Amino acid sequence: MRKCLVVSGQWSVVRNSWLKSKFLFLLFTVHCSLSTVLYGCASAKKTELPAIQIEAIDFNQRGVLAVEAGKYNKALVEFQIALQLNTSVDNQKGIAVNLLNLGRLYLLMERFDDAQTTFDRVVNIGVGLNDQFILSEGYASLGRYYYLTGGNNNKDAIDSMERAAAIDRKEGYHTIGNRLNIMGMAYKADNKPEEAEKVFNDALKLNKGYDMEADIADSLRGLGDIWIEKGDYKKAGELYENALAIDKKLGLSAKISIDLSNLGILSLRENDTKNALDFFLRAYAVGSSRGNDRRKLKLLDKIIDIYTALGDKNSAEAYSLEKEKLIKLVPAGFKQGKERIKEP
Amino acid sequence: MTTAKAGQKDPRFKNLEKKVGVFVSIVIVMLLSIFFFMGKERGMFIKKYHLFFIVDSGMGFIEGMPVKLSGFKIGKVKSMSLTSEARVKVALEISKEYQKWIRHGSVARMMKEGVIGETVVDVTVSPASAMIIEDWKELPYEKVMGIEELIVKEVKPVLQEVKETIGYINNPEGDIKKAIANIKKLSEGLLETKTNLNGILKDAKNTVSEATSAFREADSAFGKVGNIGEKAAPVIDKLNTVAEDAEKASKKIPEVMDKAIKIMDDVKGFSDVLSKKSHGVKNMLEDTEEMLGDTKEIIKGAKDTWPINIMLPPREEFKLVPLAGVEK
Repeated sequence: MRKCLVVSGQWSVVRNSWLKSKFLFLLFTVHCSLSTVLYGCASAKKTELPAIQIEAIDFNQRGVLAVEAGKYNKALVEFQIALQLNTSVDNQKGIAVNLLNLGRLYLLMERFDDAQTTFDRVVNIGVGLNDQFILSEGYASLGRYYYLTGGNNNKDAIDSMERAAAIDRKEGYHTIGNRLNIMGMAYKADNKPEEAEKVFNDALKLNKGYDMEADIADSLRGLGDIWIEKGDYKKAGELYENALAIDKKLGLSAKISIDLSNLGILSLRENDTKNALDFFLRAYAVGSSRGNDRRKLKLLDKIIDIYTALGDKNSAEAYSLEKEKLIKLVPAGFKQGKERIKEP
Repeated sequence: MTTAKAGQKDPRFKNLEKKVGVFVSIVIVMLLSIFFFMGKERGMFIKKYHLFFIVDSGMGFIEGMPVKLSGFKIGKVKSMSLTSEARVKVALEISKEYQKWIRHGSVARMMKEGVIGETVVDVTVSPASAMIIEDWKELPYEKVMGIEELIVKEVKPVLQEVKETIGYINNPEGDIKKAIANIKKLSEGLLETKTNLNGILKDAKNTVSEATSAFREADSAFGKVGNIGEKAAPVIDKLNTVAEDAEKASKKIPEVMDKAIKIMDDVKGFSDVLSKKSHGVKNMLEDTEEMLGDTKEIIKGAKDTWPINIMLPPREEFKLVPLAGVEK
């Protein structure tokens, strides 16, 4: 009987501790579930911005996505609505962001004059707000505009990019490599390959440090351009291949087309016409789905030249017809072989 | 041994068996109560009966799907099985207490509660005079259109109306084509009339000038009456011709007027038709706009609700178009 009682007592102790553990476990489970639900409920509406600003942000975001999808007209409407909404509540920073996007879209649409006016407004707003982010982006965009318009504007491009890079350096913005890439291209366009190479190397280092993949590809491509001019085709090829690998990984169609085109040019320099043709055809195929018509025309010219040189008249004629169709879509300046040069 | 002795002396161990027994009994009673209430809650003790219906496809049906009557849950989909004709037999388990409402004339339908609500089997109520459907008997199934089919249903008549309008406009026997043909005829008639009037006026002018000269001659040489008479004869002939032409022209005027009236009628008829059709199209567009607005609100609300809001990409306040670094 005594033994029984002792065993029973020990059993009850064990059972009590088991029940206690079970209870604690249940309590913990309930706590976790409640915490999850309450956290969810509490975080359901964490945005504190006014409704109009949220709407403007949505339109702006949709515009950026439309640009990435190559739907420029749709993007234009989205940005204009976002701008209208931000203007209606005098959200200056929002207005600047919308203007930046509009200006960059104008650059893509080759509406250069509109782009410049827009970027000037952005810089004015940035100065008014003393907002370093807006100023950096504004100067960089202006720099890009000057670089694209070419000619004497390359110096302005370099100045603007230096301003943007100085702000980025001071504020620790990760976009500094992007500014240096454009600056490098402006140096190259201004026949200063040594400065360009130095800037591209700096950009590559910074972009790798900040893990800015798209900008790393740009730096590699820029360096590839320098090395191809130096005659080191092997090194240029490696750089272009690396840039292509990154752009493919990121799915950037326009840049993939450029990388393939660069590899085609490299093959031509190496007198490998068939390989060059293959690269140009691939670049054209990528560019046909997404890309700018100006670049497509350049590619078509190269393809037609190669087919003519190879004596393939049918293919040359087929691509000439393609070119004729496309030429109607490209601004008149290009057809006449004029370069857009803006006097300083 | 020491522990056992201590246990014997410890007043807490007095009546331990009883205490354990009571505790265990309470636990058992509580467990039974829990099972009972859970069972009651789940309707385990409610009498049930079964009905079934046959559908061509089991798409959308799932076991356990609620069965509702007037929006009130009365049972669930018990099971589904394929018949020998490769159709689907859906068995329903319904509380016996609701059997009185499900009589011959009731039908089962698959419906969605709201736009994004759950899908349920809805059973309609039939008149109390009808016979109750017995256990394991077939309940007729009525197909109800889904939202997509409803949209198609809404849009189809509009497209039909647009098609009809275009057909109406293109119909060679229709008012529009007739109106255009009449306008053409009218313009031709007017042209002809104009030509006739020009001729008449020309003739009249000639006649008047000839008459004037004739009268002058008559006035200057009274003695030359015979000559005048000779000259006046063709003038009178011409005057007769002019009068005839004028008469012809005047006869054509009512015809032209008739044509003009007919054209006006056609145009009016066409504008009536257009007005009628455009009213329908306008209503439909307004409805569609309203529906899209509602849908947008619902989606917006859902997007702001946890946990959907954490699945969506974050709102980037300063999202920018990437500034391409290299290519020109």
